[in-house]
Amino acid sequence: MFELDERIPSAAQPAEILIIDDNLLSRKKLKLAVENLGYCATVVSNGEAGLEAIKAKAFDAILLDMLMPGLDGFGVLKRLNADDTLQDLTVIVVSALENDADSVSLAITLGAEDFLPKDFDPVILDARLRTSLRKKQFRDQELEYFSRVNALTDAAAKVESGRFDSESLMLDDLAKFKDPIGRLAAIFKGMAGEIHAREVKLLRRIQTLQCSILLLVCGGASGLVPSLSRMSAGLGANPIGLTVWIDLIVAVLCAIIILFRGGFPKLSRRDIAFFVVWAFVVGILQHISIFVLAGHVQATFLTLVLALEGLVVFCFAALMRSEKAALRRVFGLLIGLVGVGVSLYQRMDGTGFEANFWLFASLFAPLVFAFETIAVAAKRPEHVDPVCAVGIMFGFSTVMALVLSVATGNFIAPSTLVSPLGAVVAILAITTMVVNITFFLLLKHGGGVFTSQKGYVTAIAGVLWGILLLGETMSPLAWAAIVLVLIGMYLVESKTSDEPITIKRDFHRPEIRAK
Amino acid sequence: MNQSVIDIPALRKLSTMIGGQREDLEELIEDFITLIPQQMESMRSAHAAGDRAAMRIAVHSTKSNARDMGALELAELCAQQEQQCKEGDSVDCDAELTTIFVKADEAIQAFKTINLDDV
Repeated sequence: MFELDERIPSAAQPAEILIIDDNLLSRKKLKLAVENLGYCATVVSNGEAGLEAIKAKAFDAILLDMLMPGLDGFGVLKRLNADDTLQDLTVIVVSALENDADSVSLAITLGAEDFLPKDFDPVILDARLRTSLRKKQFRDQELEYFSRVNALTDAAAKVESGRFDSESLMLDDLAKFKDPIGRLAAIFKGMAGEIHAREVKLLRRIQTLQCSILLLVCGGASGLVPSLSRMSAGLGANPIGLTVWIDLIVAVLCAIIILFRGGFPKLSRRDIAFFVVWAFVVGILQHISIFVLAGHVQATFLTLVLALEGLVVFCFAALMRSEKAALRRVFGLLIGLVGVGVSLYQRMDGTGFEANFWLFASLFAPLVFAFETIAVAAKRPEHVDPVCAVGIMFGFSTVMALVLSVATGNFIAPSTLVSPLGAVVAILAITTMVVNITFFLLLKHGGGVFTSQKGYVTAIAGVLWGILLLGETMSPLAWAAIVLVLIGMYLVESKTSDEPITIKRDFHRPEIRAK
Repeated sequence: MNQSVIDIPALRKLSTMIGGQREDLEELIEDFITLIPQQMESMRSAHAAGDRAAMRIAVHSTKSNARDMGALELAELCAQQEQQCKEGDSVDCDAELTTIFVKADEAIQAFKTINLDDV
């Protein structure tokens, strides 16, 4: 298994021997004899001092007198025996009790390794010390060996519970040994590392796939909002009244899901403040502005403008120095703006002042969306799940919108909704809920980097929804403007930070765990 | 006189045990000359107080030192006294102690005049 070190004591590191004897002459004689044999000797004159010395320093062996005033040798042996960390210490009794068989027997029973008379032969002392130290060395190496076996067993248990990464396994030091355990640890570590790498790769693929689906749903639903908003505006709904019903329906739907599922989260004052601000930004500012704008500009144009959110987020991040304003990205921003400019120019042609005003006014909508993205990414309460978060937010925004609608006389009576407008409102509410929940899920699972790609999907989906639902037409110049915006978004692209993946799995089988 | 009180082979064994350095042996002899009167005093006190445990430790230490230094007669007397203490006899041992004191004094005198060239 392993080899003993033959150098006992070695010249470089002689064994440390503690001598406990109350008799000055005996102490001196033993110290000289022990040092003459090549060991290091420390002397103390009583049992208590001996125990203190043992606790203060690691000794390889103890030469112990038995008959002493105060704590005698038997007392010392009993105290050592009672301490788990000290009971394996090598103790050789050196006493003038050689004719007292009972005392010698008792000392050995209490844990003494050997017995020597006071007038010992130095050759015998050397032989006894060598034997004892060899046993101790063997025991120490055995303990060290078993501690390494335990470390390997612990690593195996961790692998069983699904942790393959080298930080969890802690086999780096063990794998440096050249013995079989070390080689086994190195192989084990290598294999676990390979499995870990494969699992991380697989999980990344799964996560990317899940997030891609979420991205398509979120972007597709986001692109639908301008068309539905324009349809509701066409059916005569006022923006504030529409906001009340949409926010209310979303809040109720989320509440039903929360009630069915159970587990409403505990909210701190900070969480509540976040939801109130979020409700005001999304439930009031976003909704009212979209509904107002939808009544005056084409859904396809509105979609294009809203897709600028990604560029605005980049501008904020660059200004706050959280992202690098590299040349490529600034160039991308400029191309995006050119695309919007082309689109504006194409639509301004032949329209009056009011129409142009709304075209320019719509350019402020992405600011509200960008603010939401930054605020939710940075401040969202991690412990609140997406459905709860969206439900709470829309609950607050319903109250705000209701107060506003009553105060401004814009409340839409329920009876008005028993019409095609009601169907559009219901679809718009469901779409809004889907957008917000998938957006929250995207941020949670895909991170801010991945979520920022939502703009592409929203832009394309918005154009398609506008053409499909509203019959809006797109001139070649308008298509060129969309392409320019998409190229701009591509060049601006978010930083490529990668969230670390944690593998969570458990096929733990306690019955086969090493004790 | 020295050789009748001090066992030279025993002293030689001690010298070998501690490495054969003359100054080390001289230091041990000086310690013996200093310690033995203290241990005699301890015996007297223990005897006067009737303290058998203290008496046992005192005679045990003297026995050990005397044996190491080759004062074998003194060591033997102390061994007998130690056995008596262990067996629970009374410490009424005036005669034995007087003999021990005489032998201790002889050993001290012998060490004071010893020629270590003989060792």
